[in-house]
Parts: sequence; structure tokens; C-alpha cells
Amino acid sequence: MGEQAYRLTEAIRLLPRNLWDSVFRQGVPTTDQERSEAVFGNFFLHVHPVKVHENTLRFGYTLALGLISFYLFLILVGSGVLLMFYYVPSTDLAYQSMKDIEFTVSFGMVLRNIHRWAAHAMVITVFLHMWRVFATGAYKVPREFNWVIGICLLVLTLLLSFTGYLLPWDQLAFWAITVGTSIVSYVPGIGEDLRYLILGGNVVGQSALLRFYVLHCVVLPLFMGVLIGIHFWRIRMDGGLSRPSREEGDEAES
Amino acid sequence: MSEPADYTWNLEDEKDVSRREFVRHMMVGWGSLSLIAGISAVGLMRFLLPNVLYEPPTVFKVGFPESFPEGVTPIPERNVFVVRDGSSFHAISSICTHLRCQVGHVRNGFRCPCHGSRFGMDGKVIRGAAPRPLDWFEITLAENGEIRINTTRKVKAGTGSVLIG
Repeated sequence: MGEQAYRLTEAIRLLPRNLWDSVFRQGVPTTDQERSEAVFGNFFLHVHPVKVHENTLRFGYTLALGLISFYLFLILVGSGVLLMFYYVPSTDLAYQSMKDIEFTVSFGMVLRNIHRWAAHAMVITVFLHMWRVFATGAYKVPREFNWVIGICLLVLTLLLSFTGYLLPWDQLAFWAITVGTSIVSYVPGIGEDLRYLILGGNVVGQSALLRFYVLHCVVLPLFMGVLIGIHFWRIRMDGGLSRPSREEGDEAES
Repeated sequence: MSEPADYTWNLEDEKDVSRREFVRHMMVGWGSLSLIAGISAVGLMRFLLPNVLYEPPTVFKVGFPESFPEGVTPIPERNVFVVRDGSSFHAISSICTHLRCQVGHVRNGFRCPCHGSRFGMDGKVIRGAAPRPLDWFEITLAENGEIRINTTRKVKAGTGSVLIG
């Protein structure tokens, strides 16, 4: 090796600068073009379109219900993961660990109630979001497939509520799931087999609790995350957030 | 240091793939992939249906006939009522035929707390959402003289009672 590329002291002096530059490839944008590129090239910002229509940002039109539902989902993932550190999905320990979270774990009661109320709120905001989309006709061409994905997200929201319902393993949970899975057995032909598959047996017992736990904590949130991603992607592909088609004095709007 | 290899795409080196050959390759590829996916789907369903259950027994003894008082004795951990009528015994399911809630014994029959179904003393639906009467189970005397109930064998209402003495 010949001459060293740079000296150690210089490397240390340049380290913060190098770290910054390695994370943020471009400098601070100065032109509109560069600002667009900065948004487009950033992983966290690229979800948002580079340019949005003025009407899209009107709060009164969308009421931000979709975004609120998404933030509630994030809150549920965060609080849910924390609850998993204490909850034990066994018929002997589930109720006890739930009580431990309530009464012995620091901030456990807060976390459990955040999870609980965010879950209730998410069901409400998802319904209101659907109502808004319906009322503004945003389900129409070219957004009709995104409405279908939205229906799948609604079903997943309700399934997550249902599977989470059993986990406290109290009387309410037990009888709610007994009744809920008995409704499944009314499906013509395969009803009883379907119930057996869901419960992993004939009664609401250990295998049912474990199945609901795995569905609630792993399977359904994964599907949810993927579908939310497609849902957001389709908003962009289908022409951006829906907005009033015409404003006074604005005729060229489609 | 050697020269890097020339990776330029040379169209003339490409072997021509005929339409027929392409379709055949696609059919073999997609066909085997679908076959594997299909077998895996069937296997997954089979995997999710347990072969061994750790559930309460379906055939069990409930005690000696003498220990039962006249009338209805609920055995909630087994989801049955043992009904004694003098020297005659029969077993009625305590699981509501509507949505599997636990029915309770009330005067002259049974009542479901979930959706208000009412059943007569023989399990017949009097009113409410229940589509079928309560099940009657096979009841026998075990070798040691205890009453044994088999919940996998349903009998017609009013039959299958066991007589003592």
C-alpha cells in the first residue's frame, strides 16, 4: 500500500458529516424539483404523494378517518406487543396474567386500557371511514377495487376484535366465543367441521385459546399490514385521495 | 488484474424458443407449482385438524343411583342433568341447541340465559330460538353399580331410562 487515503484524525473529524451524508443523500433541498425528489426518495415520506390537490387537504371532506384508523392500528400493535411480554395463553394462567397486567405491572392497567379502547375506537372509525367513502362516492371507478380491499380490512378488524375477545379467559370471553363459534356451525354442510377447525376441538378449551392467540397476535396482524400497504398503494395508483370533483371557478378538474 | 468479462447481451447467441416449446415449459412449470401448492393446502388443512383431544371425557360415571334425590340434579362440569323419577333415571344435555349456552333448571323445565329459550321437563322446546329439543343421552349402570352416561350416544326423548331395584 502506498499513501494512506486519509489520516485517522481527519476520519474522526469527518465522521459526523459522513454519517449524516450516508443517511441523507441529498443536501437540504432548495428548488421545488429537489423538494419533490426529497419526498419521493425518502422511505417514510414516499407514502405521501409529492403533490396533493388543495381539496385533498380539506379536513371536512375526509375527516381523516382512514388515517385515524391506521394510527389506531399502530397504537394497537405497539400496546399489543407490550402486553405480550406478560400475557400467557394458557387456560391456567391467562386470566391470572391478565389480572397481573391490571394490578401488579407498572402502567399495565394503562396499556391494557389503551389496547382495549383503541380496539373499540378502531371498529368505530373503520365503519365511519366506510360511511365517508360511501357518502362521497369514493368507491366508484377507478377506486372500486380499493373498496374491496377496504371490505377485507373491515373483516380483518372484526376478526381481530373477535379473537382478542377470548384472551382474557373470563366468563364473558368464554361464553362469547362459545356462542360465536356456534354461529359458525350453522354454515350449511361444513359448519361443524369449520367449528372444529377454528376451536381445534369440540369445546372452547386450551387449543381454542392458543389458536385465537396465534391468530390475534401473528396471522391476522400480518394480513392486516400487507392489505393496509396495498390499500395505501392503490390510493396513489387510482389517482390520489378522492376530492370534490369541481370547485367554483375551477372547471378543469376531473 | 484481468480484464472484466464481456457481459454484453448478444442476441445472436440466444437460442430461439419456439412457441410450442415455450408453452410446454410454462405448462410443466406452472403445473408442478400448482400441484405442490395444492398438496400443501390439503396438508395444511389436515395439519390444523387435531387427531388427539385433551377434552373432558364423553363417557363418564356420575355416582350411585341412591345418591340422587328425586327430580333434577345438574352436573355442570359434564354439561348434563340427571333426572330421577322414582326408580327411573335419564340424562338430558344442559347445552342449549341454539348456540351452546348452559341451560338452567327452572320450575317445570329448563331455561337458557343467553337468548331466552325455554324447554319442558322432557327437553322439548316451549319457546325461544332453540331449533331442536335438548339431547337425551344413553344412560346405563356401570359394573360397580354407578350410573354411566355416554354423550356420544343420543337416544330418543322419553326412552333409554335406566330402572333401579
